[in-house]
Amino acid sequence: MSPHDNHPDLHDLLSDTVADVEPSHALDEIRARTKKAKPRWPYAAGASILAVAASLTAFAVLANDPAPEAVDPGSSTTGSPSPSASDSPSSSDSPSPSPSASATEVPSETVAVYYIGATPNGPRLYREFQQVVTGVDALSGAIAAAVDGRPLDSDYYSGWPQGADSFLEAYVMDGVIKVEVGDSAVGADFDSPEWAAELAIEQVIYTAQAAVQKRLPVQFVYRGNPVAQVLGVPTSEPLANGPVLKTLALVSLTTPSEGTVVDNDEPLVVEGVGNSFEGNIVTWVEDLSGTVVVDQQPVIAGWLEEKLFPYEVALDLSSVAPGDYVVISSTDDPSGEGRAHVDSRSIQVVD
Amino acid sequence: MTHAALAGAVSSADRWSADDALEEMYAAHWRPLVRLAVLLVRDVGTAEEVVQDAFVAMHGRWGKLNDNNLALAYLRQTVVNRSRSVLRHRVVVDRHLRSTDPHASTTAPADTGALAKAQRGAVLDALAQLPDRQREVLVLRYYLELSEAEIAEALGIARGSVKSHASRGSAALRALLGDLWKDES
Repeated sequence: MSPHDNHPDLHDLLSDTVADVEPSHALDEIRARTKKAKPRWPYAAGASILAVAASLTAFAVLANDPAPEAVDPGSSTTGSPSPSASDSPSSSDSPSPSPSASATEVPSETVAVYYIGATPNGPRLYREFQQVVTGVDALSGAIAAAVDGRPLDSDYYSGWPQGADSFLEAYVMDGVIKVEVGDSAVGADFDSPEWAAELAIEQVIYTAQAAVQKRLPVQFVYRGNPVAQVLGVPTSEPLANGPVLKTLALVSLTTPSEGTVVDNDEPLVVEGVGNSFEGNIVTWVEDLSGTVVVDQQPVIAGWLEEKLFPYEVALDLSSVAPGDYVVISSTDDPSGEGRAHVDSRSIQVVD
Repeated sequence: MTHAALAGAVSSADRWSADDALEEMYAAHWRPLVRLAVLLVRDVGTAEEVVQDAFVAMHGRWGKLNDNNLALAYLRQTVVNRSRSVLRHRVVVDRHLRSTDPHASTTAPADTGALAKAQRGAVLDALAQLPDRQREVLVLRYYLELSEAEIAEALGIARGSVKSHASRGSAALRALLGDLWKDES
């Protein structure tokens, strides 16, 4: 049937609507972008950050060694390749309905996406749950989200060059996650700082492992073959994730997601993962001027293991007036030297 | 390079370069793709950015596509996906800023179309109110005049869903536009 059978005028209506749109010339700009992808992140990194980044080098594992424990340097305590709570969202670990899905029927899937954000130990990865639209598989969709760098929380960013074809697709083959990258990821003129490039690689490794819920090694591939370097980081061998407690922020919120609207009649359930001295994670709510409106609620997550532990706490909002607030979870800081890791989310409280 | 020259140039020995492909595809599809993106994201500046991104991505993927038709399908799909991503991002940003100007930058240089500028704005407003999928299906089907199979492929959804999104979307659009749609023909 022809598209016009039902709506003889809809084509004309839509065509007329944009008939006068005359876009400006962009070929030169596109050409410039295909020649050199511009990285985009803060360059304000100090010496201490560089020192931390040096410990984040991805661990190469032997391509012919299928032993799953070999690819999980993070779980030194148990030696088990079972998914740790830090990055393997089970259905119960995922936030329920995403507030960002304004449409009622957007077919999408919730995936964990890792972005770079600041911590007292220098930049590390934070986990954020996002809705990835269908039409892509969860693995590719999650990695694309990590690479494209549209975190819901504006405190986070991607270490990948923006707007280019860095990432193409990903799939699992023979127990290895193959991540196919494009020209701008393998160019020799990539001029990002080393820490950013290494964290960019870790973004993909952690995001991919979360999507498949296994600590599989990640092989970067360019035009069908393993590639010697991506963003300047050596990648000829399959890579394991960097050590959990040196790569990830030590607290990461799962719910609420950024911008959630909450009713002050209901307790606000805050979920996250963390690893803190004696397991203590505290969570509170501030207004935009930093005044605490819901006092610190402690909860025991866990520690002494190379992983992040899930925690959950319910906050009473009944005395909180409608308005914009920030929910903050923090690790314990026995040193008192401002070394606590924190993660925050903006929320809107309504009556 | 002409289309005729292209048709014969798809052997691996005589592979058309990504740079040539970019130029050719840009010349043929830049304007229609920006117009497509305007229907999806409403403002021209954002639409241009989305389509630029798509061309950059196509250039990087040319080794795999290596064919004009595949490249065009890829461009369309990328424009739709990136438009959706932009809209989702915009929802978040808007919620933070709480200062959305509903009439922001719907630039149209001249009133030469059948519709007056205000009416074009109304159509874009109405499209913006539809759920993402309905808007995408309507635009692909009635603006680009793609087949159900092509739309299903581009959006990664079942053909049955294309049908239902199209019928619900056009009913919703008709309700939103009222007289404007009826008068137009």
